[in-house]
Amino acid sequence: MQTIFGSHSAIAPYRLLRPARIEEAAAAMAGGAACLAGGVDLVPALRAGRRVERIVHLGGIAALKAIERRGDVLRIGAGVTYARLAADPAIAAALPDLAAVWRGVANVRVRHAATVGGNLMAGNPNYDMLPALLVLDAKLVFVLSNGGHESVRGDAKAWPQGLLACIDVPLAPARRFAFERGFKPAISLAVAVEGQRARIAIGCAYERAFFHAMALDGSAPEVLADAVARELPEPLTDWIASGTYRRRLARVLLARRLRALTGG
Amino acid sequence: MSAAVAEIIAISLTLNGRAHSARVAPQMMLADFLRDACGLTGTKIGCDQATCGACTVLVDGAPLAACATFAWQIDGCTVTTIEGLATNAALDPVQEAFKAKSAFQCGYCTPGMILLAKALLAANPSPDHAAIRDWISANVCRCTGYQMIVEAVEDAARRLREAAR
Amino acid sequence: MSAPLRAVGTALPRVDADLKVTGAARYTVDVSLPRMLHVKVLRSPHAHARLAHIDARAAAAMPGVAAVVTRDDLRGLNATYGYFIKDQPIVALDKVRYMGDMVAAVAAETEEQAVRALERIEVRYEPLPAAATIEAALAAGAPTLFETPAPGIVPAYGTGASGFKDPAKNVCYRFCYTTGDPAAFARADHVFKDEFRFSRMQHYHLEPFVTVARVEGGEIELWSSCQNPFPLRKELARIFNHPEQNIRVHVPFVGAGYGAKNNCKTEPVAVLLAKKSGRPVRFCMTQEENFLTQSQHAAILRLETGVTRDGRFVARRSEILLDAGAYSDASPLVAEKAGYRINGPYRWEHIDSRCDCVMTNTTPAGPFRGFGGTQASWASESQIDMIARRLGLDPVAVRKKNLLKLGEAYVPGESGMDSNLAEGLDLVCREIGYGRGKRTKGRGIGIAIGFKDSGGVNKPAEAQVKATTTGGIIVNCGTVEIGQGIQTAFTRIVAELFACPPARVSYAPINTDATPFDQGTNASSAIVVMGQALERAARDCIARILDFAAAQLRCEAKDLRLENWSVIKDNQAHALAPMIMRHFGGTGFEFVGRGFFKPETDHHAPLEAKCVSWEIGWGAAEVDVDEETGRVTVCKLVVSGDAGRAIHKDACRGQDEGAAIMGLGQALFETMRFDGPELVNIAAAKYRVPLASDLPETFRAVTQEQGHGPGPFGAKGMGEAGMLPVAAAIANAIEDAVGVRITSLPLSPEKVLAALDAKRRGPDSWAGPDRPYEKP
Repeated sequence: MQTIFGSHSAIAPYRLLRPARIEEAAAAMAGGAACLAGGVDLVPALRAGRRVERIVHLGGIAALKAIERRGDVLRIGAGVTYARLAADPAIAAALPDLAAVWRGVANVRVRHAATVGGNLMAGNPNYDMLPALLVLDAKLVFVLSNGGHESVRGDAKAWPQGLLACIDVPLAPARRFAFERGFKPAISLAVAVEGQRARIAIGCAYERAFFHAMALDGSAPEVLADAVARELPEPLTDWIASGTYRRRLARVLLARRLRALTGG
Repeated sequence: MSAAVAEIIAISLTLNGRAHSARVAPQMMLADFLRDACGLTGTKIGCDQATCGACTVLVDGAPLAACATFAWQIDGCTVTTIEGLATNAALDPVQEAFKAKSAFQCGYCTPGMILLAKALLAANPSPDHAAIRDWISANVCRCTGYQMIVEAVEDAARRLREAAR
Repeated sequence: MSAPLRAVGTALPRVDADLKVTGAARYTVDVSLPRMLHVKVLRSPHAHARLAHIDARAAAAMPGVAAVVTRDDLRGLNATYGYFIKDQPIVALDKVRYMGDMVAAVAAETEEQAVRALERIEVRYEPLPAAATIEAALAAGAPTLFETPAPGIVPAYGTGASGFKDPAKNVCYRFCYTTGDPAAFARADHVFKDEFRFSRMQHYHLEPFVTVARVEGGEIELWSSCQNPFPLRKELARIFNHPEQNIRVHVPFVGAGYGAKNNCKTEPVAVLLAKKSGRPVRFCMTQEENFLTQSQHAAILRLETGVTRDGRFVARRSEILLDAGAYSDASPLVAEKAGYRINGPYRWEHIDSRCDCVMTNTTPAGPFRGFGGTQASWASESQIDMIARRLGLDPVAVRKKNLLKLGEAYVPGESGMDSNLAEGLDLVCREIGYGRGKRTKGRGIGIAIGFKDSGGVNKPAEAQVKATTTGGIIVNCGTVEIGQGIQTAFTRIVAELFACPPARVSYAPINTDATPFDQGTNASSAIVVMGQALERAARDCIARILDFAAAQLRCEAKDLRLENWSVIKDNQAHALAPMIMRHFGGTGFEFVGRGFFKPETDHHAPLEAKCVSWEIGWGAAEVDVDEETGRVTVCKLVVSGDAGRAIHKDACRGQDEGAAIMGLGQALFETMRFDGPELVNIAAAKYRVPLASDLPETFRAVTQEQGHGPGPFGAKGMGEAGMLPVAAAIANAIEDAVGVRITSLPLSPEKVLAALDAKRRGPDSWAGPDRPYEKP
């Protein structure tokens, strides 16, 4: 229980670093500096009393804002805002489903401030980026303090220590993607269907998004969803919802999404 | 390393149509910069957690929470606060609409709500009810129940379209 | 009322429009004084603990710190405050009683320095067991919040009503009301016992609790975001043993309150620190601190209702337990109203109600829009539907059978209904399409009638109206512009009476030295209580003007009337300004009128005075229930209040709509969630309030103008009514849609799904509070 409530006016002084290159930012972070892009998560933490000596501003690093098509992969910079993710023509062309979902994430103020990287690195199980990327089979590309690069999938046990530079989303024309956000903060659900395979990810119900790949064997979506829901690890029980209810929602929402995506 | 290290940061911006420069401490929030340093108290602090939107200002046309944006972040930007809308004592069409439709009660959320609506109408001059509801759901109004605000934004859109003709 | 009105009811914009749409409106948060310090407070991490030791010396030595206060600084003061019961300390004395209880405060040059200093305060607590809920506080062996009773009063009550201070352990106040013969229960064909639970919301006023105070030259001066400056002044005078004439309270625009901003919040600490530091201080709480300062009352309501088989109401016994939180605050008054209003606007042979304020180790509960009426309407209007269904009767027909008629007394000794209840019921039924159209699976309609009295209890108010030489009219009264549009309403009323353009009338800022007395801007009392005082003040001022003019024109005042700052005699206009200057000299004069209103003290009335007015909120909801997830979508919501006469139509509509959406939030999702005694959804991002995206697809507020109100031009108060019926209407609609009855708020999808599951399995499997009822 917090005993002192600070405010935006009570944030402790810090030193601001404004690098122009990713490597400089990564080095500063390795030295203990906090990083700030949109400030959606760092500012509340500072307000709540977190002390930092140095803050690295990532907003001046042009490379973090790039969006580029590399063959069958779309590379999206970690500094891309939600607003751009929803509106950028390259994303709209390559990943129209993802762009459409992001038009409704959070609210317009947040969409202008928040970034792809901030969403992922906040580690907040209620955030939507990780479940989306898990079902899209994306890779997270980090720049390490030594200047090297390392990439991992979102469900990797540990992510590299470094600065998230971009995400690589494989493009698959036959893939269909949907995101159920209507029952947050009890549960969120990302589903991607490609041929006889489906990839699903559940947010809000676990400390970290739960990922599962499944075969579509021709059974009814309700039967498939029921089987998945039964096998889920126990979802969180908290003041928002019970684990039992979350499991129930997972079954119902998955069945509905599968039915819609498979044209059932 | 090219990163600047500074205890006090010099910023310059266009504030409500005028060039402005200032020196700010790194931790100074835009809300305090506007309210305390510039005397623009129309920007209100409500939840102080970037959730309620009472502190909404426009930065390069985009609505942003001034309670959770550092003053140095608006260096080089164009900032519009509620004080920047009326010109020569004539209300902006969005302000006129909020006035005509009584789309306010206590008035505390009103500056933020009006600026939020400005940004919508810049992006979409003819929003339907659903688009208005969706957009203004960024900000909290605890008094009105929103319906009269939705109607005011519709009215503002009409006023702006007529003015543009 | 026969002459056409030219100010009242017109579509002119509100008088505060320009200030509010340009950001120029000044609130307490905008007040800044030279050399002003900033206040931060240290709060208890324990729900219940003895304060064994506190040492603030290190904090006082920190950079920028001008003053620190702890319990050591309360010596010689009357250190506790409250409405009926003075139990809440300015900062903790011997104990802390909830998580968030104020323990110490610092005034420093900056907020950041104040925070750093607070971190240096050494506190040692000896934790005690805590009672987090009503049940826990009433259980055998429960911890005691107050070992020795706090000082307090029980007010005088009239026929049938009684009050008791500290009637049981952890119960600080009990209100009882009874009328008629208990034997009436024997005449009932059925007696239904049901229990309802009401969850609590936070007011979520956007302008925080905030005060700027200075103590200089023996004068205490403060600017406060406050609904009742005069009672606040009196309480501060008592706390600080300070002469009332040397305390001045200013109230600028208030960024809403919904009941929260009555009495002491930030003010005592601010005054204490201003006194100790010798400098002006600003104490502005954060929103989290608002949550830790005041809330609505959670409640358990048990109703035992006797009815005949054809649906006539016979008798009702009610037991209401309000969760008062850690300090009594306004709980005794809320108990009065919850206990008094529980029977709704219906006819009964016998009523026996009891309402207890149960102290728990949680945030203190206080006034909240609806003031006990919301809790009462939720339970009563839910049960009426349940009874109708059990008897196989139509819920609307059952209501109609029992509704009080226009003019019929609520209970013996009470005033009569000043709305036609059946008329409003027909209206919302028509708007929602009740009984029409074919049924769709998962869809249902519910109706409810919310009910409360308005005008407060035995409330006095005084107003002053001044007219300048050139016909400028200044309204001077203590009603606070808190969003409801009272500046607009009052200036329009006065313009109407003066027969002048509304622009000629202004509303003076509130300053307790100059403003006439008012008990507070609450209880929907402005129009019906202050409004009557104001009408009298305006008429008094006009009479003085006409007397003066009559003397000048050598005629009788009764032969004159006022119009647009001329007096009209025999169809000829005589301009007043030159007449005034001729008589009083070139510098002119001001005519001052005063008006007073107070309901008459009346021992036959249960609350010692008849209720001034009755505030009714008719509501109807159409819902769609997703039977797989339990989610309830309100497709259509209709609310209607009776403004009597709408002084400003948009302002009335805004009150109904705002109140209805507050009720919608309470019905569906908005609630303070506690894990034991700890409030877990304290952050703005976790506490969900309605947003524009939550609006029902169709949402209608219909302002009735039935014309029977006691206020000017037949007006009635109507700021709370729209909230009262909403939760019950939605719960009733859910049962209509899918046949399950939810008796606790909020009507969360998980709860609805559990009830649906139980229904699918059969009634035997039902468990918990939302069990289905047996058909008789």
